[in-house]
Amino acid sequence: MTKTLILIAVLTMTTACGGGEEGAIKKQIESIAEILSVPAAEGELGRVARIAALRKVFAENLRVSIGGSAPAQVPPDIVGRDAVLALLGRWTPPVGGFELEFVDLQVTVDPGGATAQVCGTARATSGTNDPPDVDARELTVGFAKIDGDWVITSVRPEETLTR
Amino acid sequence: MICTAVLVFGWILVPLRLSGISMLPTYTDGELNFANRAAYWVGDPARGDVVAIRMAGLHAFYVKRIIGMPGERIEIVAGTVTVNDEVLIEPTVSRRAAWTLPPVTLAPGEFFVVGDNRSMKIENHDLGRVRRRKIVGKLLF
Repeated sequence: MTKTLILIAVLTMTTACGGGEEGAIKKQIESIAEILSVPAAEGELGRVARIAALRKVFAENLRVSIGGSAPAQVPPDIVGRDAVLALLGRWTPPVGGFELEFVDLQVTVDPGGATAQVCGTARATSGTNDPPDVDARELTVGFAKIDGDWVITSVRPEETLTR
Repeated sequence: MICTAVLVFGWILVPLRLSGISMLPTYTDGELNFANRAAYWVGDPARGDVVAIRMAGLHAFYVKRIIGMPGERIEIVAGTVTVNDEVLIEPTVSRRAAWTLPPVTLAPGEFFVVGDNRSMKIENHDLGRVRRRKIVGKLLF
């Protein structure tokens, strides 16, 4: 009986802490959020370093779907790592910086263990206002394990209710 | 005791704090409730059930009432809901604005959900089709 209780407790803790690949993916997405966060008054060197770091975590065939909420100058679908990086390179962060975090994550690793989906909320805080501007979007992020590392293959907005 | 609590609140009852006014007058802003996952372990959701619908993450949910079942045709004309061209009787709705929604035919595995507060503008109310897999459970109270 005691062994059974310990086993249940260990399984619960493992599930709660997100062990194995799920944990690795969560860690990866947290580091991506950190890379995409821009401090106030970032210099040119910082911007170049950020783009270089993102190259390592984006798959070559990355597809980012923005959908109907895309600004006029941005296409609804951006295909290819270089195209995404070029767009990020041209982006001017708001004065006062930009902080991105992924919250409320649900990771599903596909049975083969080579791909995974992460559903969650991307929350961006920016600007110099008090309180700062906050924007939150529900997203599904696709991952693939390439050469032992989890890299992003797709990003698309998630609509829970559709009319 | 701890294991029972983990089992019940981890896998069966999901605690919720309702936020917003879309389910008035049935549920008020800030009310506490639970989504009962076990309610749909055997059967499927039914019309009239108030359900918790998973958003993209793990801990944010919509709470809505099911008014349309898979395969049905839903339409709202001047605030009145019709299902397959028959008026739906909704005793939980007290005031209705003149909502209009073009006909929607639900695919297999799709439900149509809406809140009970129909006095607000339809533009400010989240309603629509939802996949079965997004429905977490039925509200306990």
